[in-house]
Amino acid sequence: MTRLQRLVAFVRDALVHSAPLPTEGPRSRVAVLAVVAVNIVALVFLVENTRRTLRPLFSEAPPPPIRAEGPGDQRFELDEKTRKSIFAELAALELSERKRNIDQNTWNGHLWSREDDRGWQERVLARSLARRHGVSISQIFLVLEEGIRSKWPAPDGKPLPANAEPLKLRTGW
Amino acid sequence: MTPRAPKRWTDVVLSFMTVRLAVWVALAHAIVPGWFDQPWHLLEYMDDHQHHALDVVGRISYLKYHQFPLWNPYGCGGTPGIGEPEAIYLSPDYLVRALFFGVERGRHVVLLLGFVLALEGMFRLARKFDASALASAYVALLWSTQPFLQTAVQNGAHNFLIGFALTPWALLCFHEGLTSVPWRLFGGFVVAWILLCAGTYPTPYTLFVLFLSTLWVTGTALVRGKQGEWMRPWTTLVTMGVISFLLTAPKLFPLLSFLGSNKRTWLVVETNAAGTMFNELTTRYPWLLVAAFVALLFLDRAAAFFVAIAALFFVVSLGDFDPLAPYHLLRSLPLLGQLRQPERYLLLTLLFLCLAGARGITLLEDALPALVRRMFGREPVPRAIHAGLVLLSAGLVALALYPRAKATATESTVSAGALFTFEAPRKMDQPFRQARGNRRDIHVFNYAGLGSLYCIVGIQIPVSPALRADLPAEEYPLDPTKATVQRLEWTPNRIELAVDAKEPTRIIVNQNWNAHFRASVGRVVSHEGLLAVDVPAGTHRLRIAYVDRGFDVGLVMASVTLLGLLAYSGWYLRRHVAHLLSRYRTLPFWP
Repeated sequence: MTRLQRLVAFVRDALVHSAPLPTEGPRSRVAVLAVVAVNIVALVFLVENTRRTLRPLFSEAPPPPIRAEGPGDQRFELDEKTRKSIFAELAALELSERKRNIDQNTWNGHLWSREDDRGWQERVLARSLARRHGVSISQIFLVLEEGIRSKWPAPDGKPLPANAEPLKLRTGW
Repeated sequence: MTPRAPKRWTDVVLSFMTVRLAVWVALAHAIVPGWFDQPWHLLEYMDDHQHHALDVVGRISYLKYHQFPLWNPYGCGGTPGIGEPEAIYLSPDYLVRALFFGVERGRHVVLLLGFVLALEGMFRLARKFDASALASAYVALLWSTQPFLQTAVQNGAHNFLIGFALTPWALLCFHEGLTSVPWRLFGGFVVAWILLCAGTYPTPYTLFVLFLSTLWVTGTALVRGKQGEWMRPWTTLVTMGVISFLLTAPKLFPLLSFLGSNKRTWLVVETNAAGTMFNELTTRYPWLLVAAFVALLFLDRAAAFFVAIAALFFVVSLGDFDPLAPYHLLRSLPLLGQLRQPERYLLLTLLFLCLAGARGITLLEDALPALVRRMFGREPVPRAIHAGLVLLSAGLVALALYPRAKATATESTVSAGALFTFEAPRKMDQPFRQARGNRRDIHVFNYAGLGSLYCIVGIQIPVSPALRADLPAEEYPLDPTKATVQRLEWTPNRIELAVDAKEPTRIIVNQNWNAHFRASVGRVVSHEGLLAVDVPAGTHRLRIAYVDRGFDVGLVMASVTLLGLLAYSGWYLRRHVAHLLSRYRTLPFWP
C-alpha cells in the first residue's frame, strides 16, 4: 500500500466512522410500507397547504409600468400643467421647510438630519398629492425629479437644489 | 437528520418530517395569512422600502447586467454592494427568491420559509434535549411567533426572521455534530447562511450561543472525566467555523474591507429597566416560566444550564447599566461595539427558556408513567397499561397546552390584507442617472432606473458633496473645452466611455469614488469625493470597472467548498440509501 493509498483509506475510514447511519427504524416490510404511506399522505397535505398559503401571491397582476412619454406634452402619464402644479406644491413645501429649519435651528444645525426631516415632509405631501391626482407615488416623485433636473422655478423664482446633503449619521438621538 | 427515536409512542406522529412540515405550513396559513398576500405592495415602514430597493438593485445586477452586485450606484451616489453589512446578495434565500420568484413575490415566499424554519429548528432542538414531541411543538410555536420576529417582519427586516430562525439550527448542528461529521458540515452551512443573510445581529448572537455551548459541553466532559471527550466540542466548533468561513469568503472579505474603512459610532448609553424586561417575559410567557421552574424543581441539569444562560442573556439585555455590565464588556469587543439595542438579547433568553420549558413540560408528561413504574417496583409494567398511561399523560398535557397555544396564536395573528398595505411601486425603464431622491421611498427611484442621492446606510460611508441630480450627462469632462465624453455602455460595476481629449484632462463620473475602481486608460482619482479618471490626450475607449480581488478569491474558495460539500452530501446520501435498501432486504414481511 502506497502512502497515498494509506492516506485515502484513512480519510475514507474517518468519514465513514464519523458519519453514522441510522440504527433504528421499521422492523418489518409492512412497517416500512406504512411509513412510506404516511409520508406520501403528509406530502400531499404539505403541497396542498403550501399551494393554498401562497395562492394569493400568484393571483394578482403587477402594477403596469409608467410610460415615460405620452401624446402631446405628457410625461409619466401626466400633462405638463398637472406636473408643474405638482412640482409647485412640493417646491413650496421644501422652501418653507428649509426656512423653518433655519429659523428654529432644528437638530442644532445637523444638516443631514434637517434634510431627513424635510424628506419626511416631502414623503407625506407626495402621498397626499398622489391621492388627490389619482396617480401613484412613483409618478409624483418622477415629476419632482423632472422639475429639479429641468430647473423649473420654485415659488421664490429659483430652481430647487439639485444635490442632497451628504449622509452624516448621528451618533445618538 | 431526523430527531432521535421517540421514547413515548405518542411522539411518533410528529417524528415524520413530512407530517411536521405539513403542520407548520398549516400553522403559517392560520396564524400569519397577512404575510402571504398583496404581493406587489410594500410595508408602510420606510425600512421595508430600503430593503426592497436593495433587493431590486441585486436583481438588476444579476439578471439585467449578469454581474455580481459588487457596487451599488443606486444609493447615496454609489456604495459597496456585497460588502455592505445589510447586503444579502449571496444569501441562499435571496438567490432563490429574487432570481426565481422575483423581488416582490419572493419576499413573501421567504417569510413562509422563515416561519417554517423557526418552527422546525426549535422543534428539533428541543427534541435533541429529550423533550417530548408535544412540548417541542409548543415551544416551537412560542419561538416562531415571538414579538421580535413579528416586529422584524413588520419592519421589513426579513433577514432577521431568517437569521434568528436559523439560530436553533446552528445550535442543533453543533450538538449533533459532536458525533457526526455531516452535521458539523451542515452547521457550517447554517452559520454561513446566517451571515450571508445580512446577519448583522443574528451572526454574533449565534456565535455567542455556540461558544457558550462549547464551554458547557467541554465542562461536562471534564467533570465526567472522559478522556479526550473535551476535544469534541472544539473540533465541532472549529469545523463549523472553517466551513462557514470558506462559504462566506466572497462576502466576508469585502465586508471586512468595508468595516475596516467605515465605522459606525453610536454614543448613546442604552439601558433597560429590569422590571420592564421581566414584564416582557412574564406577560407573554408566564406558563413557559412556570414550566422552566418545574424543570428546576425536578433538578434537571440541562434545564438548569438553559435557565442559567437565559438569565445571563437577560442581564445582557439590561444594557450598559454599569462599567462591569455584560453588555458594556461585550461592546468593548471588536465589531460588537457597533451593535445597538441590548433588548434584542431577550431573544436569546427566550430561546433558552423555551428549551428549559420544554424540559419541564416533558418531565410532567413523563411523571405519571414514571410514578406507576415505581409503584410496580421490580415488576415490569404491562405494556398495555404503560401505553395507556403515556396516552393519558400526553392527552392531559395536550389539554393543558392547547388553550395556551391558541392564545399565543391569536395574539400573533396577522390577518390577510393587514400588513402589506403600502402602494406597489411602478416600473419605468430609462438609462441610469442620479436623482435627488428620497430615502424614505427609495424603492420608487430604483424601480425607475434612478439613483437616490438622499439616502441612509447603517454605517457612515464617504459621500461626495459634489453629486448632482441635474446633469445633462452622468459622465463628463471637468473642462468641456478640453474633451468630449460619450457613454458607450453602462452597467453597475463597469462603465465604458468614448473620450476624445485634446490634452490631458479629468473625466468625472457622477458617482462616489472608491478605492476598488480601476481604469483601462489613465489613473483613477477622487475629485471632491467623485469618481474621476485623469486621462492623457487622445481618443480613448475608457473602461472604468469596480474590481474587488478579495471577492474574486473568496468566490473561488466558496465555490470549491460548495462543490466539496455537494460531493460529500451525494456520497453520504448514496451510502444512506444503500444502507436502507440492504436493511429492507433483511426485514421480515410481518413483525
